[in-house]
Amino acid sequence: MGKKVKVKKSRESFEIVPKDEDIPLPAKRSSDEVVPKKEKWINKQRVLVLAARGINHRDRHLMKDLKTLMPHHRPEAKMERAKSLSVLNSLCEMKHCNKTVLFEGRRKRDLYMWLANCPNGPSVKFLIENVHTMGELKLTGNCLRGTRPLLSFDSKFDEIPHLSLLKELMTQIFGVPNYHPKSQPFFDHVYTFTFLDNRIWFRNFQILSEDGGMSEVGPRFVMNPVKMFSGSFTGDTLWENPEYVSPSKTRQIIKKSAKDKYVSRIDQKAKQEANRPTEAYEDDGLDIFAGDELDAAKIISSKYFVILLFRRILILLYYRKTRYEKVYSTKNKN
Amino acid sequence: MTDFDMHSSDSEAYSDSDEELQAAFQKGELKPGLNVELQEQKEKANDIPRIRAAIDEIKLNLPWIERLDMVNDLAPLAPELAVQLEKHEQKRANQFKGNAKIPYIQPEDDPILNDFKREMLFHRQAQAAVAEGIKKLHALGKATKRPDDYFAEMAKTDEHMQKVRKNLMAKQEGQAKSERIKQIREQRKMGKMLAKQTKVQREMDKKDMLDQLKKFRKGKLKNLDFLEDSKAKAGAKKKTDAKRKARDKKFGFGGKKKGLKKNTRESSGNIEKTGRNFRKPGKAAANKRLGKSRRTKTKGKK
Repeated sequence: MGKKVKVKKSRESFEIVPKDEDIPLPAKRSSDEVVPKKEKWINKQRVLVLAARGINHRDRHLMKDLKTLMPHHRPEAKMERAKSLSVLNSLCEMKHCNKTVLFEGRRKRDLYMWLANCPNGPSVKFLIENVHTMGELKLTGNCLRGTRPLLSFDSKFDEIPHLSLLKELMTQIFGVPNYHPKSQPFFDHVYTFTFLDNRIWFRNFQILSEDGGMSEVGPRFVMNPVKMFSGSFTGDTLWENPEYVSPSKTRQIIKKSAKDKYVSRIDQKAKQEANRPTEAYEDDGLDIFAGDELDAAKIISSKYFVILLFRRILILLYYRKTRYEKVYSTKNKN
Repeated sequence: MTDFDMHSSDSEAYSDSDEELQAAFQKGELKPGLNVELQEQKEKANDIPRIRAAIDEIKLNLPWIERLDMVNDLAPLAPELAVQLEKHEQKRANQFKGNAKIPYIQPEDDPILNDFKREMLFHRQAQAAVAEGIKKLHALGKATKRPDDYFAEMAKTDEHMQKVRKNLMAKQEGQAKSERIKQIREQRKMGKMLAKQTKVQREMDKKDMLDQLKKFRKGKLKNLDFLEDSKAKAGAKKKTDAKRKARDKKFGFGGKKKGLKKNTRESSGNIEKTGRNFRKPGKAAANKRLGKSRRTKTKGKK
């Protein structure tokens, strides 16, 4: 008996589970919990988002989308085009902003975007291409207004100097400050910035599940960097894109190539008209087109002299080149 | 591009001295407009030390939770994404196979396939970012998911999301429909094949039967059992050929088509532009319908 008891005791002691020291955190917080006071707002970024006159509807919607995603933005009325851009620095100061996003349209079709650190710079000018706004129906995701996005940059942003400057600037502009009064304390979307084909591709994904389920929220656009300046909207050029070709230039090239096509076609027609024969071949009473080709050729060769034969064969070849080839190819096969 | 190439080759070819050029000009070999002065290519700025200085100047030295920036490589290709990619490639290949009007493009250069692959790239980068970021946030003791009973304004409105849902449904429906139509087409094809086979079979049967009958007549066979096996299948429904008739009426039917475009003795001697491809000059077909104003006038009279 005594022995048995001993065994039991040892078993019991073995079954005691040691208390886990780091308890896994609950993935969700309950809504009854008291919201902590938001005095820890230290990263005070304020971004002035505005457009110059002359942007088109799609670009305006893009700006609107960015505003909905950035609770730390300050709106501003459209700017007149004639003013020099350095006016923006004083505007920024009046609005207590330290960053600026300016959208500038050209010819109602091209969109340029400026990102600037006011008032000391640097600033960057981008050409924005391939804009898709949040309103598009194929972008099926959705996210809370004002949640903080995770910012993902691809590894090129660490390697190339001007890209790391862009990374710093974009982190400060597009990232929502922690404990910002208008922000939400959850994480449900992620921005990706990818450097590809000399451009920076922007995408916004909703996090459906934390193990990698995604759906795109939008907007999506491609930033083609043009120039970087040391000041904000002023200063020396720090970097310039050697591969940049302005969109009007590309359109011009396309038009020019199209023009060549038209001209050459007209030329060809004119030449053909000019070289059209005025006299028909004299009819020698032989119908070389009737019957078998080889028979016709034989008749011709038997009837005429060599020169005439040569001439006729040339004519024959001219008119019936393709058919001859066909005949020979079949004969060779057989 | 071509302009640029031409200029550069010019600069290599014409490295003559001034005297030679002057001589050439006297001979009349040089004409104004043939030679273009090359503009010197301006060096594009890339001031790396100053860029580095600017980075140091604006850098925010704050903990990661304030910034949330990450540098990510791609997440490994998830199996469902790989399947999706494969499906897309297959679909594109089928498109090329099924439609001769689409010029064939190598899969590596296909912009549509490349678009798809590129989006996949972004998707994978985002996945990697989420995997890393959520782990970091949990390590910092931050809750990431919102509770189910937490409602707040979304970036897209409910109406908009309804629209999105509707659009998705419509797309799926369309796909199902096209799938069904494809199946029906396949079935019809099979049916035609079967019909052909049965026709051949029936002819064979008939021939057999006639042979047997001949044999019977000649007295080689004694009984007429073979007649009962091959029952004449009556009541075989004849297909309506209204569609065929309509097409024949529209496009014509029968007649010789071979050699219609061949040259003849007459055409070889003829230098006039005659033929079906040459539009004859003259008046266009008279428009039988009157203009709007005259139509309204006649309407008013009635």
